[in-house]
Amino acid sequence: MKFLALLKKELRECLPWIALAAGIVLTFGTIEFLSKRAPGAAYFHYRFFNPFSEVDRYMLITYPTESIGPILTLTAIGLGITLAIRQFWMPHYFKEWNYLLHRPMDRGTVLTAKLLTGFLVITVPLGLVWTYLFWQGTRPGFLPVPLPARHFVEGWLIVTQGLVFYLGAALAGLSRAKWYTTKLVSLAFALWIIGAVAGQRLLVWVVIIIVTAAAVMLYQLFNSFLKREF
Amino acid sequence: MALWIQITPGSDEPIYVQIVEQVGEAIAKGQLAVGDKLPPVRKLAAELVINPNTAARAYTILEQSGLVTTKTGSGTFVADPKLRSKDTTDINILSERMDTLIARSLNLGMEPEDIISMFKGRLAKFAKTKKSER
Amino acid sequence: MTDTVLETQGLTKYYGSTLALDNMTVKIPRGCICGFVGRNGSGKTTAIKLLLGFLNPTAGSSMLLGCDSQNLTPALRQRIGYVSEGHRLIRWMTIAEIAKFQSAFFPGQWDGKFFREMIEYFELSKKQKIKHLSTGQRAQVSLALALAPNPELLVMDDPTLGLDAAIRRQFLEGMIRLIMQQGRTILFSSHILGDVERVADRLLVIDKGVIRADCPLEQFRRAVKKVKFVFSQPPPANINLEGLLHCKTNEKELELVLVGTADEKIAEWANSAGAKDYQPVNMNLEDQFIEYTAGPGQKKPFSWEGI
Repeated sequence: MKFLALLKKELRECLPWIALAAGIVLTFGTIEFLSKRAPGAAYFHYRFFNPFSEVDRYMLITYPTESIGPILTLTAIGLGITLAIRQFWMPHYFKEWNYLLHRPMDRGTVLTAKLLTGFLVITVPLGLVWTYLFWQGTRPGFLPVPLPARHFVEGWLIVTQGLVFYLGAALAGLSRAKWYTTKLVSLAFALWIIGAVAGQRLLVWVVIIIVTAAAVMLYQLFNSFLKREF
Repeated sequence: MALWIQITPGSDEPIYVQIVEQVGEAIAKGQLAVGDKLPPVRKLAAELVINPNTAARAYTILEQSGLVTTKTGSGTFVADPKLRSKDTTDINILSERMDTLIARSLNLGMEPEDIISMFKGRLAKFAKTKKSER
Repeated sequence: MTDTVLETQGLTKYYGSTLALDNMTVKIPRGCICGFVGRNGSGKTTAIKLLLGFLNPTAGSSMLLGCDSQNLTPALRQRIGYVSEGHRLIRWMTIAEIAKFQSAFFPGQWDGKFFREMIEYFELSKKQKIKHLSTGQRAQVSLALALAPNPELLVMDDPTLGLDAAIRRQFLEGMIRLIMQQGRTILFSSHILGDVERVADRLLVIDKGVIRADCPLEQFRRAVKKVKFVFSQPPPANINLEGLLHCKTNEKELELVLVGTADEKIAEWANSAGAKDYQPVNMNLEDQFIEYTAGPGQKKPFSWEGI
């Protein structure tokens, strides 16, 4: 009852961003598909998105996913950071923490509600849009060559990069240091993780790196939130 | 009935003293007759926007000086003047207070006779109010 | 049920090297309305935040309703109402929405009728958004939100700051209504001494981080005195009178601020010092507070014995 009320509030606050993010990816994705539908597309190189698919560099087909990949990445990261700002930076600015935290509820539960919201809001809309676009890309006759199955997983992994940035920005929001000292360290960490997964040919490694990074940041988040002064 | 009590927070006199004095004056002027019921503590507190303890203290002091009596369950009523105890300490304090008034009047250049007639005039007002209230 | 709802023991807080709260040791009994007064920056908000577990003490401890402030359980937070500094709520919600939100946390405890009545009384509409409310209106909503769950203990940090006289009055009426219920305790900080005098029966005075008084309001009123002495020659430089707080000399006059000094002792001293005459100066609560906290910071509260 209490947890639900909190969850509903958090979701309500993040709603506009869900719509915006999903809208962006859907729009661009559709445009991309439509513009590349013309049969007999000319040139011969392809890259899905540089992190994962260098190995396919020499396939001689054009994939419209060249631009969907970057869009998805940027949107996921943008969404992650925006949500973290909404949930963890804005209460500071508007001095809402004292009201929010004087709840008959463990502080850890409050944090869980926030994080659960962030997780759902990043993965579900973007994941669904990506699934839809991918499904479009695999329909026979829609594209000159249907998209390989591996792309599907890659798309989802790109969405999880958004989660990494979400957690990093959340940590930065809770940090009490000055912005020019260590406040943005966690964001730099998120960036480093993205760099670390780039160029990984085995998707398994990508999963391991992201999951480990997320676990580390989650631990730090709980630690920080429970002890922090408001 | 509580309408005629006006308290001023931020004055030199504590709030309960103000209540005691105003009730006392009302009794002396006859605005409150013997047997009249005073508003219950909680009602008074709500109307004056003060702590009920303050109102209760005022009533306790009034009771100690014999001006009112409290019957548990019924309320607080104005007491019979004949049953009031005449505490000599109170009377001594009173006569000392009179000294202040007398000193001020003399310093203003008033003659003793003028002071007495002024006092009589004010006293008559109390009796008049008492009569008109009947 | 404990008799002491609020207790601190040597509660101290440093912000870096700045001492914000120095060794606060107080006991607030159940059922009282305690006015927490002090100048701006004297440490009121720090103390209140420490009590509610929003700050970590540098030293000492505090307990609310018998539980350590640093570990307030959800069950306890359910019994404590809190109006924070600035009474910020959730900006985008309407009054109706925040009432629904708040009530979800107090199942079985929430008095919806009371909340609606208070909102009506304050002449607010439940469709108004919090961000469009003035500070005063937000204070009213905060009070209603804090009172509707019927808390055992209500802690308010300067709830009437920025409110005009009319709204303050309504606010106090809301507080009185809570007081009427048995066993409720209120701690509120304020620097409007007139409000404190109306509503409080206990006083907690803080100055420069030090608790200077923790006593019934009436005791404070009786104890802090200002007396003016007139001499025919320059007044003595050394004043040996117990309870002396500070003094002001002006040619042949001497003004002393005393705490807890019996009238007889004053008369005695006046005699022995050779004063021509002396006269107590009437002070209201605000005057008493100003005199009591004037001058350089004191380390310990005065002893209240013998008042």
